[in-house]
Amino acid sequence: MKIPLLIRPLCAAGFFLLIPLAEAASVPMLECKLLAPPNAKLGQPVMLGFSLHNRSPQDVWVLAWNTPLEGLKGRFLTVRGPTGELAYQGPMFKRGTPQPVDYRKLTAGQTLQVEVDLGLVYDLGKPGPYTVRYTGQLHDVVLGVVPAPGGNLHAQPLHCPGVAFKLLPV
Amino acid sequence: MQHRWIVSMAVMSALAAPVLVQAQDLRVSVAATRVSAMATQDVEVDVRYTNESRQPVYLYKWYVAGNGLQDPMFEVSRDGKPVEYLGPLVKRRAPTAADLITVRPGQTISSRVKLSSVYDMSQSGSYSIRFAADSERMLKRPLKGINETAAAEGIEAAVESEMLRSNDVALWVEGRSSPLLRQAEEGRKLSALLDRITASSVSYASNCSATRQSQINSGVSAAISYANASVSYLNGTPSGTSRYVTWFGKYSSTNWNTAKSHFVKIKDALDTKPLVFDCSCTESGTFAYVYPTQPYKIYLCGAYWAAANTGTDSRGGTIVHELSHFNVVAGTDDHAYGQTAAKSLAKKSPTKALDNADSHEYFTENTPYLP
Repeated sequence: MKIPLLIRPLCAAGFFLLIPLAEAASVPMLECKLLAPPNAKLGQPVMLGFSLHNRSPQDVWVLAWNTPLEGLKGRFLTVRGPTGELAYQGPMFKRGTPQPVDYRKLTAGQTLQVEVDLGLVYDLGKPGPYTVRYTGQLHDVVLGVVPAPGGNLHAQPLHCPGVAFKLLPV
Repeated sequence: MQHRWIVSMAVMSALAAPVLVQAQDLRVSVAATRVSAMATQDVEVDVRYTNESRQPVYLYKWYVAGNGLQDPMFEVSRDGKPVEYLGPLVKRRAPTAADLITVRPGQTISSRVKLSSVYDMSQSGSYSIRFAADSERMLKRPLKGINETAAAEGIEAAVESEMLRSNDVALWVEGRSSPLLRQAEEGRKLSALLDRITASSVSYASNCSATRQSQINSGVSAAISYANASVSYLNGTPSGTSRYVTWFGKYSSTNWNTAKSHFVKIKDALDTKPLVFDCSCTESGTFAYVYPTQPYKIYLCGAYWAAANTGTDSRGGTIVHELSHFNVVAGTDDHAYGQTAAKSLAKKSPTKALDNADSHEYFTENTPYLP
């Protein structure tokens, strides 16, 4: 494409203007955190915390499927141990139409926090360093109004910084 | 006296001596009636038989098949791969003179044959067609001086067994269905299901009632035909077809092959692995679940029983979805649920779509139909 010389500086300026706009658009209204104790003893439960904070000024309904909000009922974490990636041992579901009861409501500024026992679905049988990353997404997010059953799902990415912990020999 | 005896011996031996009818006596050529055929148009060829010998050639009349093929007398291939003949194989009584058509020296007879109703032309592609039949089954040439009835019913004239082939014609054909194709699919489904049942490779937990078992069988049967059809689709020429792109995103040959390898494994699981079904789950909002590390046990829930056997979110599709989760099969995740989310996933991330169970399910269900 040929751009007239005079317009080129304007295009460049537009380019720099676009960057902060794009960043603003990608700032998540939901802030996600994974939490884990830095050390745990081998054989003890390892409780992974998951917190979701609503930074927006309105109510947000989040579909709990395949998030810790409904427990460990899907492969949405990547767990690596001293011998490499661990196989997810839990179930995976094919869901029907979500019902309002499948959503969790976060009012403006609210934080939801849950804990799940990682050892139930991952084999944490070896001492050493572990890392947990959230590799799933939110299957549906509804703003402002109570979700109607039967609507299309609109998945949203969810950025959750990973956590590390160490399993100490007994 | 002795002279007469010698004469009759000579006649006898002349009668008994095999006279060879050779394949080159008859030249067969084919010509397509159009260069390409849309799904609504028949694929027809004109077959011309020309007698290039100096004697009459007698051709069994079913080779001049004006009204419907009764033998797989064509070799049809799509993009270099043979396609299946779906028409009848007729067992005939001993032929009589009434079954023969005479082709005089230099004479050409022709007949128009509709191939799209008897060969599997369900896939779009470049088709190559040629006539090919064993001359021994096609031709009969009686000895000189013997009338046709005697020739047909009496002494056998030897016909050299040789494949008689015509020229190839190429034409582009848009995929279509046909009643025979549908019947063949039904037959294959039934046969695959019977194979599975006789091999006892579908088993049910004690919590599955007789009704549930039958609903499982219908689902398995639908899953088998879905997996077969997907493998055969992905064995076709790789390209960015709308079906592929809709569910797996931007086309690349690597990604196409990934999808293919997943469906080959799903088909293999259905064909050869011991599937176990459990009916204890009662959640009405869930179709099914599996533990990916525990092949090949599938837990079926409320929404499965309420589903249709085929179509979007059907029993057959659910079984394909669940099989894709097993780590030994395709190890898929649930990145997106439902058609809308799966389509959007394909646009955003083909890699994730190829790792998404519902994308496999919707590809295989192909509802609504995409070419």
